[in-house]
Amino acid sequence: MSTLSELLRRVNRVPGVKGSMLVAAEDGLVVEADLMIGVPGPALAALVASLFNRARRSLSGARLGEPTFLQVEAEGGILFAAAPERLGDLLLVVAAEAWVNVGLVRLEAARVVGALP
Amino acid sequence: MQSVAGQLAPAVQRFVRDSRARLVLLINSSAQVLAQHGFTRSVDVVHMASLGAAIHASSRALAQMLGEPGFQHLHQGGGRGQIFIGAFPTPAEELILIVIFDEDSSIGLVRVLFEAFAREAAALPGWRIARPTQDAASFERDLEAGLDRLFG
Repeated sequence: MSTLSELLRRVNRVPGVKGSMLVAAEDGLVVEADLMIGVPGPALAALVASLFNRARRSLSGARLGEPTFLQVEAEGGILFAAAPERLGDLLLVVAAEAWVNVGLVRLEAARVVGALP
Repeated sequence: MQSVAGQLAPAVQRFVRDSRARLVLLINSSAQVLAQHGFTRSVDVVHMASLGAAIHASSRALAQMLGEPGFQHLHQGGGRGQIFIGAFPTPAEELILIVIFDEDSSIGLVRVLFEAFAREAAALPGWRIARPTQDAASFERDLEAGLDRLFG
């Protein structure tokens, strides 16, 4: 199992997480994914990357620096996108149920990214 | 019933809005133009349609050399401007969508929206009365009619 798929597997252990992906931020393409059946990976990847890039431009325009985390909440669930420096141009995207413990997801994501070689 | 070209226009506009593409051209494999967005000169449309159809034909020939029926789509990028060429079947004939986009969009977004566009375009009721126009006489006639429709 690759280091990246191990990263996703660990994030997916958090109760309520429906899947996670590593997405090329610039292209919006899936690099590695571990998703439940029914989660539309390519569409999610493309749309989250697009949102993240828009946020990046807005923050840059406001001179607030680079975005590191994006969270979108909806009735049916929550989407997270994180851009940790260690992943370079990759975004860690997590799809979860609305009742998920957001803090736990962020903590686990930070922990596994921090443990990357 | 409205013509296929008329029925395609709203789908093309939705694709442009959602993908934030700069230029969009919808042609058939003979380079006849069915819809466009963003072009201001008919000569550019003709050039882009001819080149796009030729690229699609070349990539299909390459795919056949590899034992494949054809590639689903083709993407060339790296600079600020990028090009995506995707073909899809309809009840009457195969169509080719050519999309030029920049950093406002991404190849992932264009690919996802292309699939939705292809499904919508192929399901239009107008295909029931449309027929493919492959012969030279009808090609010339349809090309002129298409350009008149697009640029007045």
